[in-house]
Amino acid sequence: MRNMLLIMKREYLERVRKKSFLVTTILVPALMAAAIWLPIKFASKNSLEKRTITVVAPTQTLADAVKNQLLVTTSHDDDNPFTDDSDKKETAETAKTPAVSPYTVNTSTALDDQSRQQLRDDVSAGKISGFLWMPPDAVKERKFTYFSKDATNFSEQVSLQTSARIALTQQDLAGRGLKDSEIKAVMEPVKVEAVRLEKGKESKTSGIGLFFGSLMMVTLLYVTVLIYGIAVMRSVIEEKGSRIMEVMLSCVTPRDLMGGKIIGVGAVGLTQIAIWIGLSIALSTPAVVAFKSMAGNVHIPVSSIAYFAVFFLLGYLLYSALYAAIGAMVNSEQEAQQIQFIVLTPLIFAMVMAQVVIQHPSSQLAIWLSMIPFCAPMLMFVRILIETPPWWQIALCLALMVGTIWGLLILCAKIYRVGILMYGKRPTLPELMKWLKYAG
Amino acid sequence: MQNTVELRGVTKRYDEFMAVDHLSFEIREGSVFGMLGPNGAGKTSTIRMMMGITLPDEGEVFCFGQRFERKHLEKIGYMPEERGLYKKMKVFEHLVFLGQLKGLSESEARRRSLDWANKLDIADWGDKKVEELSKGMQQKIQFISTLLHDPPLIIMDEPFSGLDPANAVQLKDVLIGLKKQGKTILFSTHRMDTVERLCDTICLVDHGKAVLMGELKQVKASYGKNSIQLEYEGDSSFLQDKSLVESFNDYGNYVEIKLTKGADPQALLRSISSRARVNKFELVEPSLEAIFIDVVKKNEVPANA
Repeated sequence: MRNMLLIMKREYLERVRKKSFLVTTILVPALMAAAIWLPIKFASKNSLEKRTITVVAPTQTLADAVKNQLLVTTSHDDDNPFTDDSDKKETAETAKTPAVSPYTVNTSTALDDQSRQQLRDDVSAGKISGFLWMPPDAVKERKFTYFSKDATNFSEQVSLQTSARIALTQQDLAGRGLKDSEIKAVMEPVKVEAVRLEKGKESKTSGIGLFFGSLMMVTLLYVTVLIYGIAVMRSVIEEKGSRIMEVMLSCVTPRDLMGGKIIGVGAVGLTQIAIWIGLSIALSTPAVVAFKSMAGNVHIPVSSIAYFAVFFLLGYLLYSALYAAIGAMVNSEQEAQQIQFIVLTPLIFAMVMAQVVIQHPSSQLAIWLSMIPFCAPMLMFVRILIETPPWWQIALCLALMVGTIWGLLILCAKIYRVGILMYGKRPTLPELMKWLKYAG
Repeated sequence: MQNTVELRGVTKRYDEFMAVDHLSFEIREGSVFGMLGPNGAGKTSTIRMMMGITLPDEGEVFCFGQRFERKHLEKIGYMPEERGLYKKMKVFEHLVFLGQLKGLSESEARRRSLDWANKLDIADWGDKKVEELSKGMQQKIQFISTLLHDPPLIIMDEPFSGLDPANAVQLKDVLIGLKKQGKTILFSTHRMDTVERLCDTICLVDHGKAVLMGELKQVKASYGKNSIQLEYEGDSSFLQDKSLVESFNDYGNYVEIKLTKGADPQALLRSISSRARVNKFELVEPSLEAIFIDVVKKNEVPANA
C-alpha cells in the first residue's frame, strides 16, 4: 500500500508540474467552447460571406415579392440559440436599425434560354452565387430550381423555399382581394418556445442552450477520459522503453505499479476538473458577466459538474485499465496506435449516439445504450444533463460500471503483469490467452 | 555458515523452451558468487525467479534460510541488466523515490543518497534531470539505488557493461569494500574476464543447466597450469601442431593455448621461437572462458554422437 502511494505521488507530481498541464487546463475548455459556439454563431445565418443571387420570375411583382421576403427571412434568421430574454431586450434597444441581410438580390423577368445560359455562366464565373429560376409552369407546380455552385448550403435552400412560398401566398391572397395590411397580419410568423420542466419548476436554461451545453460537457468528458487513458498507456510504454520496469519490479508488485499509476494519473484528471469547477464558479460571479454574455446563456448547474466528476472517474478507470493493458502489450506508441481502435470504437460510438440520446433521452434505445458500461460515462451523463432519469436507472448504470471496472482491472492487471517484461513481437490473441494463464 | 540463497531444482519454461532447467546452487553468506554463461543461458531468468518477478514452474528458492517471500526483497539489492530510470526526474528525487520504495524514510533516503553521491563524485549533479546525464553517470545512479537500503544480498546482472575503465574500477572498489563488510554478492555476466578475480565461487550455466560449479580456486587447480599466454609476431603455423596444441583461443593481441596432455611447454616454445618472434610466453592457469569453452565442448560431444 505504501509503495502504491509512493508511485501515485510520483506520477501525480511529475504530471502536475509540467507546463503542458497548465496549458491543457486552460485550452481544452476554451477550444471546446469555441468549437461549439463558432459554427452556431455563423453557420445558421450565412453571415460568413456576402451572397448575390438573382431571382427570375414571370412578373416583376412576384420577383420583387420573393426578393423582399428573402431579405426579411435571412435577416430575421439570427435567432441566436444562446441569447435569452434579457439579452434580447438589450439587443432590441441597441439595434434600432434593422438587421442587415447578407444577401444582395437582383430580379429579372427574362425567362428565355439565352438569359438562362447567361446566368449559368455568371454562376460559373463567380459573378453571382446562384439564381432561382421560376418559369410560369413551375409556378403552377410550385416547384422551382435553384442553381448554385454550392448545393450543400441547406439553410439557403430553406430560406429560398420559405421566401418563394410566402411570396406566392401573398400574391394569391392579393388576387383574392385582401388588403396589404390584412395579408401581413395573416402571414405574421409564429414562434414556439421550449421550456424545460425540472422537478415541476421551469428551468432557467433554454432548450437549445441545454442542448449545446450538454454536448459541450459530454465532449469534454470524452476528451478528458481519452487524454488521461492515453496518458496511462504512454506512461506504461515509456517505462517499458526506458527499461525501468525491472528495477521497479524488484521492489514493488505489478499490481501496485499499475494501481499507483492509474490512481496517480486519475488524480491529475480530477485536479484539472476541480480547476474547471473553480473557474466555472468564478465565471458565474458578476465580475465576469462580460465573458458570460459573450459565451451566451449556457447555464451549467453545479450538480452537473459533480456528475461530470463521477462519470469521469468511472469512465477513466474503465478505459485506463484497458489502456494500461495495451501499453503492456506493445513496445512503441506506433504499435499502440494499431490496437488502440479496440478501445476507441466504443468511445466514438458513444459520442455518435450522444447526439441521438440528447434529443430522445427517455427512448428505449437511450435507456439501454446508457446501461452499457463502455458507453455509460457519456450517455448516462447526457441523460442526466437533459432530464433526470429514474434513480434506479442511474443506480443500475453505476453498479454495472463498478462491476465491469472491477472485472477489467483484474483481467488487465494479469495482461499487464506478463506484458511489462515482454519485449519484441506484439502478442496475438491466442498468446494473450496464454498470458492470462501464466498470470494465474 | 548459513546459505544466503539456495536454489533447489528451479525450472522455468516458456512454451517449449527450457529457460532454466532444474538448476540448483547455494550461495554462502559473505561470499562472492559468479553465475557465468553466454547470452541466453538462463541467467536473467534465474535471477528474476530469485526476485519473485516470475515464479518457477518447478523447484524452490530459499533466501536467508526461508522460502522466498516478498518481504525478503527489502534485504536484496538488484541491479538488472536492463538499466532504466525515469528520465524526467531529478537525480536526488529519483534516488529518494527508489529508496522509499525499499522501505527507507524520506529523510533517511535523502541522507544516504547524498553520502553515496559524494562517494561516487556525482553530488554536483543531484538537481539535474536524469536525461541530462551521461550513460556512465546514469549507471552510477542505478548502482547507488541498488545499494541505498544497505542490503545484505546484492545481485548484479552484467555490472560493468557500458562503463569506462575508470568508472568500472570505482564500482569494483565499492563492491570489494562491501564484500569486506560481509555482504553476499551475486554476479551474473557473460563477460567472464570482468569478474574472474572477484569471485569465490562460480557456477557456469549453459542452456539453463549448471555445467560446472565450485570454488574458483579448486576449479582452476583441477585444470592445472596447462595453458600458455603468448604474445608473438610472425608465422602462426605452430598453432596447427596437433601434437602440442590441443586448442587455442585467439584474442588478437595474445593467444591462449591449451597444451595437449603431457606435452612439454618447452618444446612448444622452441617450436615457436624458430618461426616467430616471442614477446611474452607465460604458463598460466586457464581463464574461466577457456574452461567454459572446454566444458561446453565436452558436453556437446556425447550429445552429437
